Amino acid sequence: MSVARSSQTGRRMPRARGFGAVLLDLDGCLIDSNDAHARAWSDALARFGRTISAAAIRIHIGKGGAELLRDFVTPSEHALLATAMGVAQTKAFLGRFRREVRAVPGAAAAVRGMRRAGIAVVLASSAQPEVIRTALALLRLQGVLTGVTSSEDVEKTKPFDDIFTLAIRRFRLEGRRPVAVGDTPYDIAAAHQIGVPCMAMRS
Amino acid sequence: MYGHAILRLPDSHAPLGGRDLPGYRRALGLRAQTLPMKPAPIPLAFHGIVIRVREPEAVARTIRELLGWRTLSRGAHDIVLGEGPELFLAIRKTGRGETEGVESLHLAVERLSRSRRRSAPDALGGDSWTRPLIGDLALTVREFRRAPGSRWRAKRKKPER
Repeated sequence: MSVARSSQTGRRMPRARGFGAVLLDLDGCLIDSNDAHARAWSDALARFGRTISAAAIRIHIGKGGAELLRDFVTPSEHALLATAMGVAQTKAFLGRFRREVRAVPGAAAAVRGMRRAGIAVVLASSAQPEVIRTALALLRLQGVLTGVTSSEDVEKTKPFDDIFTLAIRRFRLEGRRPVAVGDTPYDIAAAHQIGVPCMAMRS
Repeated sequence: MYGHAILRLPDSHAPLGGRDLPGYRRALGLRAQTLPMKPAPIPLAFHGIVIRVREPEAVARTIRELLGWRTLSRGAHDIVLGEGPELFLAIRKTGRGETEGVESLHLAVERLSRSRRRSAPDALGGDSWTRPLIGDLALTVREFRRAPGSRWRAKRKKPER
């Protein structure tokens, strides 16, 4: 068994067998935020005249904003207003963040443990950079992760594979047998498209 | 042509082989630097039109019958029909001395900042600038960036798939 030395304790730790890198989702994996996202989308769409319940939106959480909106707006609205709708959702979500979003118990500790074991951990999220910054501050994971990607880095977000593909290329994970960790069918679909195994969490 | 393309010769140009030739450029007095891309916003669609008529109510009734558009808002001197900020027809009553006609065209774009004109937030949820085109016809260029004001919100149904 290969070993890695812990950066904090100096102890020799067993390296995880098989996978050398983790592509980690944020919402639903590190923070319990899916319901807050659904409510924020409901608020944002109401500001554009669409009354859609958070419950109807909930099953679409996990897709990137532009992909999620395709189910709720017309093509012309999408072409012209999707960006503005996304901005309104981010604003509504950040307004709810402190009240409604909690860290998933043990998630941040698990990330630190993986890093200590020498596993590369990349946050491969479809979230906006501002949301990722706020979440990492809550989790106190700034500087711990190998890297971060966000919706601004790609044209197509989940369920397309672009986020995972970019994360693998940018952080040179091709030879490290990456595994994706996600909580929605869209994470699994994105990983499946590029042949990366996916561990599914329930959220 | 912009950028490097203007300084390259096509492959079909046999004597020069289509290669980058510093001597050739020098002979023509061309500088060995590429020209910058022309900065411009990316047009998405014309999404609105403002017309000036003597009887806005009659025109609005005709448009509603022809196209089934809803009334978004109604003021003392204007009626706005359409789907929302992304598609509208504003019908304004002519003022004293004004003639009937098209008053302004509204173009939605991405990367408005490339136009290097000063823009301002507007009630439709965008940042925009307006400039006269011909006579009293004006062009408004807009990038949608936020939720619109209440006057521009119409109740909508879930789109049919």
